[in-house]
Amino acid sequence: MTIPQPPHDPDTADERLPGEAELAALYRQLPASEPPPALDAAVLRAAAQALAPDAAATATQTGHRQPAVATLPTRTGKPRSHWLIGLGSAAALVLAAGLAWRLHPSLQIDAPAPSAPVTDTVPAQTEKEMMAADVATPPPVPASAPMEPSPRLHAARAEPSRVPDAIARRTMANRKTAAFAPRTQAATAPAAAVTGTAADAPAGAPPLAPSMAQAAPAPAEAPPPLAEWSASTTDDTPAKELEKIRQLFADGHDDEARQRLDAFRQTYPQWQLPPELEARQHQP
Amino acid sequence: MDAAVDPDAMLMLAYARGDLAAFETLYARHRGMLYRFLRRSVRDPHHADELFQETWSRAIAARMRYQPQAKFSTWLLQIAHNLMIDSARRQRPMAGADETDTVLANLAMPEREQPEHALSAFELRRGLQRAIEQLPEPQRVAILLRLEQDLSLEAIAEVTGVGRETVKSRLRYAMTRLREVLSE
Repeated sequence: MTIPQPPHDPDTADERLPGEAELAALYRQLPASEPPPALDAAVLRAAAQALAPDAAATATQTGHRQPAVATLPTRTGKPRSHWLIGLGSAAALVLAAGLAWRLHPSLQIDAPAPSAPVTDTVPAQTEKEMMAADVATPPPVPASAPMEPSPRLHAARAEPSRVPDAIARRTMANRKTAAFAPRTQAATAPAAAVTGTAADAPAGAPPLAPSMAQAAPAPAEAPPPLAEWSASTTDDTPAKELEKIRQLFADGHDDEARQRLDAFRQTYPQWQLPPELEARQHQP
Repeated sequence: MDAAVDPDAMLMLAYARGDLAAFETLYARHRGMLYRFLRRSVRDPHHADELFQETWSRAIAARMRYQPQAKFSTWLLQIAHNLMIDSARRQRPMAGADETDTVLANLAMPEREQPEHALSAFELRRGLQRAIEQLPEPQRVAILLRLEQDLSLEAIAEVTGVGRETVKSRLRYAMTRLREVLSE
């Protein structure tokens, strides 16, 4: 059988043991030693040093918690903003200059014409002079120019060996394409490819590969005058070339149109020809 | 223990929030009792100083996770006791008689006491001091916590990590032994 114990409050002195009062009185007579001042100073210094990192962290957190202050234009924020703006402006300027260089008519390199003789010996200085002449005084473009279909209609114009070809072709064709240097590209503006206007057609992009050209949209209506389409260039898309061929048929240049149509079929064997061109090809 | 009724716990919480003055107040309240507890528990003054400083360092380091579940004095003494136990495990547990005599000889005597009365009181205090120091460590700690801090059995049990009845038994044995020494 257990004897129930009274509840004890841990914070108050509980029952006294026998002889405890006498011992406690004698104990209180013992000298009350105190920690030396150096020990006090060491502890208080440690307590203060412990708060120093906390204060720094609190100040940092407080700075992050007050976006109103941070959002105000400060001296530390301005140089960074100006630096970013300057860098962005410089990047935009470089990009614009690069695009302008790429889009400049004098820098466009046309595809070689098979009928033109290959003049690989033309010096580079001659090309530059001709390009400068193109920019200064664009020659008049004749209404039509006989151009044989080129099997390399859309060959890469960046090849160095093509540069003399382009110059020679340009000489043979009396620089017919100089006035229409901004070429239409089906990859960037399919609809503009058939309008033939420089404003609608972004130029400078490389010509389409045959595989990509097959995915080009069908030719649209209302082709431009024949003068703009009589010459075949490396920038011509299949749709544009077909449009030129159609225009040749319309102008009565059936022989040349058939030759270019044959060349087109050889270049793009998988291209589905429009019915009218398909019919005109087999007509005598 | 509710922190709302323990001003020491409130001071500790204030210090955890960055109030250094709160710690200074807290330190002024408990520096003496902790120092005496350690000095009379470990006897070696230098070691007692080290434990004293280490106890406060632990309290400072634990300020952010301090939860006033007990009186601050109990929590502080618990830290000191644990440090003392760890130190005793690394060192010899008891001091020799020569060391005890050296410590007692260094104790200051109040000047107001008359010579014959002072001699009697000094003998009594010296006898009590020696008797306490000769107690086994668990009983010595229990009697010091009882006499110095006037802690309850539950509080002593909390500090030392044993049961209340164990504390009561240790106190009974310690007091019996002290009375025997003082009556000799």
